[in-house]
Amino acid sequence: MLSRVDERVLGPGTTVRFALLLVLFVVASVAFTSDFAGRTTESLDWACRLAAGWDPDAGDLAALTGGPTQQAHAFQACLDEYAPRPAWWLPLLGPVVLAGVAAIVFFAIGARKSRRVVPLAEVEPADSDVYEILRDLVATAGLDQAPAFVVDPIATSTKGAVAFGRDRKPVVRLDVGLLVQRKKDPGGFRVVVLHELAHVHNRDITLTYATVALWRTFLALALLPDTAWLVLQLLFGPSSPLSSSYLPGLVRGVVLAVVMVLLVLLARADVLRTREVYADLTALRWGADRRGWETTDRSSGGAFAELWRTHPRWDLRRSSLDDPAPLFGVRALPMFLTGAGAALINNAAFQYLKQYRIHDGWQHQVITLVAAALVTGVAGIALWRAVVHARLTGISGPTGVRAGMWLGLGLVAGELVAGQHVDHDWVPARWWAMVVLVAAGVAFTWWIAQNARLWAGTWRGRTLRAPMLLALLAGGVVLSSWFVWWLGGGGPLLVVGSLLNTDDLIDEFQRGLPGAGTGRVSRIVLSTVPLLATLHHVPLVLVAVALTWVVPLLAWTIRPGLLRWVHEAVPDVPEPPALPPPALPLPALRRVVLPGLIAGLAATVAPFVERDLDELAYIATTFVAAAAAALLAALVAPSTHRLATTLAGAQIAALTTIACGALIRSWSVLEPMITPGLVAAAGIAVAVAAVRALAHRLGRLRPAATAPRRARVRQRRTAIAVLTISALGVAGAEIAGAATSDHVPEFVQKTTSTATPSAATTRMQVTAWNRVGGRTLLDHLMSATTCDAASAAATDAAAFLRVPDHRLVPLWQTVVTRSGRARTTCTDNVETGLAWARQAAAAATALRTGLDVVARGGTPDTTVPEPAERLNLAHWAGRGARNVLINYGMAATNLFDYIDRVQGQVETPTLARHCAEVTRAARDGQGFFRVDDPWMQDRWDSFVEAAGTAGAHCMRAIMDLDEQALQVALQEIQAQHRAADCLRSRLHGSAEGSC
Amino acid sequence: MTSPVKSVEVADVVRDVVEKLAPDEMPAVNALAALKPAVAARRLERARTARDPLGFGLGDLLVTITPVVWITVEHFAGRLGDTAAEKIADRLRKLFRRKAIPRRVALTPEQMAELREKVLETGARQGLTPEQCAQIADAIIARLALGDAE
Repeated sequence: MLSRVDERVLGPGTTVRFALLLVLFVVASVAFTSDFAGRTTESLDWACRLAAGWDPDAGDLAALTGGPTQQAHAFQACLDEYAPRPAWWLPLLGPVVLAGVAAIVFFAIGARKSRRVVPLAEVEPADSDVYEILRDLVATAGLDQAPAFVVDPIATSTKGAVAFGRDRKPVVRLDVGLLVQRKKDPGGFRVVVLHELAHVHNRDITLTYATVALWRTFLALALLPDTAWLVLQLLFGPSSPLSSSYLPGLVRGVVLAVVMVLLVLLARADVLRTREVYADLTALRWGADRRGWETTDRSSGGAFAELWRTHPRWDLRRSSLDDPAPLFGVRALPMFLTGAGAALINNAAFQYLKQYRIHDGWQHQVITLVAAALVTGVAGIALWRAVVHARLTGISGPTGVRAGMWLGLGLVAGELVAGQHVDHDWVPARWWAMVVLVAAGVAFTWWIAQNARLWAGTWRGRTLRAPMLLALLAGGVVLSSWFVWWLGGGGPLLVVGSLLNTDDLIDEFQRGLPGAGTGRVSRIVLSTVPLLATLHHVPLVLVAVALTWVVPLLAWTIRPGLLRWVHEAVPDVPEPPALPPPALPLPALRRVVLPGLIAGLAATVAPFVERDLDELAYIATTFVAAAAAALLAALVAPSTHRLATTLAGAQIAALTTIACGALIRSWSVLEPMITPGLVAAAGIAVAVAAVRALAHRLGRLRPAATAPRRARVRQRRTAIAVLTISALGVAGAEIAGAATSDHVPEFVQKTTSTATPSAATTRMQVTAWNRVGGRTLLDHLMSATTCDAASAAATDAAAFLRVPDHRLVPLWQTVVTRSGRARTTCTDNVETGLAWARQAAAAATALRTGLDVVARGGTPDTTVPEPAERLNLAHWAGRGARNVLINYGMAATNLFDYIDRVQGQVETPTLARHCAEVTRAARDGQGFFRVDDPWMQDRWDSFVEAAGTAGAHCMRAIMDLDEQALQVALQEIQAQHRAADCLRSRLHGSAEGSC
Repeated sequence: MTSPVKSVEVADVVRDVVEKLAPDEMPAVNALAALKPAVAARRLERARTARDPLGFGLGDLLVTITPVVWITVEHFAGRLGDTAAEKIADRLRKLFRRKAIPRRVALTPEQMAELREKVLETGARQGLTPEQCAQIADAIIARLALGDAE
């Protein structure tokens, strides 16, 4: 059994925990500043929402799929005008102010502590021996600059000391009682002074007081004013029908403040207690007498009270002197607090990103690196220390699972309190899906612990810092990628719900690629598209996946030999260290790699057999094959260092299958499934490894100890180099591909039918619509008498939010269509343009009346006013009827010319375009002026209707790949073409007879 | 009443007394001497034990005599030279000057009783026995009477 482990192995890891608190203050102050700025101006955010169709009673998911998202541009324009957000740099001033004031507070604290002290020279005469003693102690501590020693004259009943000031100008304040007791208890004097000098040496002072200063400033400038405002709003805020929608947010804000206070106090106390033990151990190492810690423990209160104290219990301090095992443990509270803190940091950061509409994946990735680095630092260092300590003392160390569970729970708690995925609900609709977050935490820490175990058994350097740094850097990238995925799309998808339904997706898909797959396969594939799309938002996802298996695998490249770092950790073991044999020898590399290769090759059968299928089916087949290969490789992976070997095997299998599939057909075809395939393989590997590990544990099986074989290191290194390059190469190719490819088309949400809002809500919506510019717009339309005015009004109408009452929507669309026609015809023919403007005005008047009725609570008249006047034939023809017929003829001619040109070998996209043109030309005739010739009117109406229907049938037939229906539609278009020609010649005055 | 040819400070009296009773506590006297006597006395009476971060964290009663002596002497300082015939100007002057104690002053029986009372009261709070308090009171009275010529 090796003797006491040096507590400084791998660094204490408490600086990172301080750093997390500091980062939390800084980032949260951005959010608070933005809130403050927003509250200073009246925000009509609620009015824009209502006008866009928001139903306060319908919950968050309906709000996300409803009006504001469907009319995103118009909605944003409304917000920009009526709920402007502060300049982008204004919230960033918050941290600047915070830091500035905190600096002042920092120096003020030091000044205040210095005020009631007396320099040592005034207390002890110059010939006293205390000066020599202090010089000795400072020299023992190895400090190049002695701290200023001062005395607290009032501390007559205590015999301790305090260190304060700055790291560079430290001050140690001795209690006068300590000086008085010095002669009686010189050992005690040394202990106390050495302890304080240890704080100076360990650089605790600046960090501690900086945290105190920053916290107090944050509390005073941000947290308390904000909470006061929220409470005032809750108690005395104006009550409105919308109050219940805003209540969860207000309450959550107050709860968040309370939680933040608790979090900071607990975390700070915990870190300070740890620093106390470290100072004790440092003092002990410098020769302090153990008896100085023998004291009657006067602290009372149970374990709960202890959580808040800055000094640990005396019995704990004493036992730590002998056995620093507690300093190497991985405890639940720090993990939970770290998770919660990270969630709050991410929440504040993403609030800013959302407010300023920064959706770029790379920026998200960089920002989440901050929180990810902090979590990885805290959890990673703690786990590595625990694993290393266990290894040196011969016990089995932590698996990381418990730590991950607490970390995950902390993340969940932080997100719930901060309201990450909610708007006006209390909790997200599918809050139970947040268990995924806990699972992610467990997987993360399990991976870190596995790495630690792996590298601690193989690394031969003097210290373990290098592999720890590598593993933690990789872990940071992995965690940051997870955060980007979870916060940028994956989380809302799971926790709130999908914003798209499958039918809409299929329609949209076929619009882009008419006829590309309509079977069951397409349905299944397309239903997963939302989830897959979220993966594409994470730029470094494949790099992260590659790191998860490459970094552990690098441990196989080390030539087996003496572990020199053991000597550093346990200083009193003479060189060369008698190292205990590795508890878990590495399995042979081929045992790790070969199952993956074989499974991958075997699974290639499927894409090979199906290589002639259409693209979508081929992609799906390859995906399933890769997943199956990963599953197979995961099931047969070796059980020692299970997670690492399973991940490696599964990824190798998936990569092999994908590579072969790409060879069979082509890389560009398979490109959409590469990221999902590799991520799925990683997920399968983690799940299988977890199940197998659980089975082992329940069955109390020991991992099968493979007999250590002679390692052929050079071969290993070559193999691993090849694997690393291929993994990172694939990742790089995907990143490059994403950068150059077209922007992924945004899926426009269709009007998914939601429940009709209540009458009261509709009234609110209509009033809001009027308020945010609707009324003004209708005014402009009704009073447009010149072409310029009409065109301007038309442009505004086209860009504006549609009327929220669905009964009045047809009337609104009429207004938009007519004013649009006014704008387009104004350029050629002012008279016609103004005529259309008059028609638009008539419709607008009807709309205005309807809106007023709704606002009063009645039922509106939704009939669209037909153009009252009837024009004579020549006039009517000149007003645009002739143009409609001409355009229709041209579109039909183009269509049939195209078909003739390609001799029947049509390309569906081009054909669809022609049909769309035909449909559009026909639609231009709808709602047209009326002619005083009844026969012409009748013919016109039937022509317009039939032509429009024919065009729509053509489009449908193309999307459904229905040749028969296409033929029918084309014939109908042909017929209407003849009708249009006939009507045209009638307008010329020539040709009698029916058309 | 001796004329205040040369008055002494509170610190001087306390130093002499403590040197006789508890010489170990000299650093405490020196430390307090750096502050204004009234301020020191006030703070001693209100001493709290706050927990600083980065402190050592020990607490025990150690310096027992000095606070009692200091508080007592300070309390009586400035009143010992009082006579009914004190001029108003002198009284006013006293307000703006450090309290001075006459070099040698014999206390009246009332003053002695008051002093013992004060010592008992303060000493009890410090945890001293009545015998210890009596000893301290005697030492103070002796010092005041005899001056620094010991």
